[in-house]
Amino acid sequence: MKIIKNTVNIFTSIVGLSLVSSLFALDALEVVKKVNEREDGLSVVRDLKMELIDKRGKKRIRETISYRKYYGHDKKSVIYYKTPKRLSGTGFLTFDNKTKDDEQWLYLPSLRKVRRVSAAARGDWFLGTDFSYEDIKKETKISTTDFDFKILEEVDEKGISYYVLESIPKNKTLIKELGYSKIISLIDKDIFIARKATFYDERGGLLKTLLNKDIKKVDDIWTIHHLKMENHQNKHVSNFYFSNVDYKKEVKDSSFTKASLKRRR
Amino acid sequence: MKVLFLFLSLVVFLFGAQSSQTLKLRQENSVTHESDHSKLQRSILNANHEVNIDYDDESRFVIETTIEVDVRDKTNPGKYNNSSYSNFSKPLSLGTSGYIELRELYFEKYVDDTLLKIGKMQNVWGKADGLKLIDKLNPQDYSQFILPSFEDSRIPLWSISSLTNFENSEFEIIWIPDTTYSNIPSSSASYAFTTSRIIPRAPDGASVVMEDIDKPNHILKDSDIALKYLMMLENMEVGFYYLYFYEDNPVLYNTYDSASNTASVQAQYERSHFFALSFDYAKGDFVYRVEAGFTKDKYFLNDRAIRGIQKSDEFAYIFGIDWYGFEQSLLSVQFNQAYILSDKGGYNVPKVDNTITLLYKKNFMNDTLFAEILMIHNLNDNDGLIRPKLSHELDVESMIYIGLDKFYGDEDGLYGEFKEQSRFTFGYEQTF
Repeated sequence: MKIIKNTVNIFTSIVGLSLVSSLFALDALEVVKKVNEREDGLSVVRDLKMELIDKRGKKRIRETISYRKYYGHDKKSVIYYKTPKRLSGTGFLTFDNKTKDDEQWLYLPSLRKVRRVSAAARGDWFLGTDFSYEDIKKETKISTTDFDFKILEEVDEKGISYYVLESIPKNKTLIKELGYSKIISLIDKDIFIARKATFYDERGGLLKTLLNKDIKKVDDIWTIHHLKMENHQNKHVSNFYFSNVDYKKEVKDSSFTKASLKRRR
Repeated sequence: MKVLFLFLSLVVFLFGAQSSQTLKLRQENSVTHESDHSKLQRSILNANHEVNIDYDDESRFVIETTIEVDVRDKTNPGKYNNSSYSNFSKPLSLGTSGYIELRELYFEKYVDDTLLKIGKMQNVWGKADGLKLIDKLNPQDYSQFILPSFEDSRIPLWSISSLTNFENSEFEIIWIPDTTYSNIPSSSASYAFTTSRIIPRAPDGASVVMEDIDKPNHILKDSDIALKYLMMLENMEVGFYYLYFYEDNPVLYNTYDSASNTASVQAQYERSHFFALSFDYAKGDFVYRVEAGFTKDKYFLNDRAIRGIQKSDEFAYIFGIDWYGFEQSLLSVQFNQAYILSDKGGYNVPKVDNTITLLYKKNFMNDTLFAEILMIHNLNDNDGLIRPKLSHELDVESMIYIGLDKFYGDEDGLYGEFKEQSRFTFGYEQTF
């Protein structure tokens, strides 16, 4: 009888664990889905000031303007440097494609050529900042094809409730490509925006921390106005300040052509 | 120039346009090394001023001027006194050691999906590094061979262009009435061409007579026309090009009179048709690029030909692979072949001319330190050029840089002929 009871207990525990585990997995995907389905406008025009601070505290400022527009599941975006004047006119055009490889072009005024660049180097740093090209492209959205997810816990902090989401790349190739072995994100339960994310490098070491601050509604869309990315390994910090965010201004299709890239339009 | 600035200021005032301007100052020095000592080859101060006047998102005025003074003045004194420039494009010489040049002055406007441009400008085609195959709309200033950046050495021309965007393609047509051609340095210049690929050989002891240059100068009859069609096919960009143009380098017809032991050379510009296609394709860490062009009627030095010149068609291509596999870096390799499509022999250039290039770039310290090396090697003459360069951002608007331009190989080769002009360069650039 005792043997039967122990067997039942073990069976119940295994089933229970499986249920809890599958429940977490389901919850995690739902959370990610809600993050990705969060309204962020059909198009947007915005100014972005990048403040780059090295480990000695020396600041560099870059001012840019960016345009982004959705075409169904595809997305086109372009960013132009306004300052420093040395880089003025530099443009970066990205097609984020759902059904084929992404496409990227870089225009350097000093060469006067639009150069096609590989979109596979998505773990590289974006134009000297602490954000990777992938970070910039995803705009706080989360790739479901790159990661497996797990809700580690639910916490309350300073009156805000969070899901603590763990994202792990699905395989070693993706770890190498993205430059991350793990991301832990604190997802605000009310607005489904990560207010904090911690990134771990390929070997599992602490790499960088992202804080999304000054989150407020623009045209009824929750919008992050300040992103702070701190690299713990080289002590470099990137502050991104968004301003003049406009979801209603018309963004022409011609803004995403190579001719426009040359013309800083 | 003052009148022009006043006019533009008036335009801004009347129409409330927004303007922005950039002033770039550059101080650069180059040192060559001769058998036992170093020599300052050039020490320049260059000021580049660009003004953009935007009326709205659709239209813009651009004016760019450059002043440069070479206090050393040894590279190519009086370089702008030659006749390759049209009267409208010739820079203004400041004595023999400097110049003022109107680099660009154009107005551009979008009309629906068509961008119209009129004025003096650079029209840049092609994507090759260190080599030019399709990028031949603007002539080149060879006063320092190919050492300055193409941006600086490309000679802007008065032209009119129309570029129309379609959903997945674009079409461009350019009319270039400006009869300015490449600036070939004089025989006393540091980078004067001596290679038999370009310069005809006179018999030993013969006196050489340079006859008057026969240069086109009619803005209609002698104008160039260029067409381009670019399209995206899935993940591949494909381009088609046509150019009816005067080859920017003069053809040096040459004869020898044994009775008077005199060689006569006459420089003349010849027309050609140029058809080309390009494609680039990105897959994984790689970008594959191809440019291929067919020139109908190109003129080559040929010792067996009458007047030393043989006309032939030419086919040339560049195949390039860019690899982004290393973090924050680019490794690019190109292979270039040019074929003379003629049965005849005696050409001064190889009938199949092969060149390879290698470019490696890497950024460090959050894009404040930039390292690159470009190598160009001609496989026929076994000569070439190696160019390592290191740049550092001191402040957001200032850079310092050092670099080496090392020529090597056969002294009769296109690159080896400048072995004695290999140089070490360092400079400082400040933008306001």
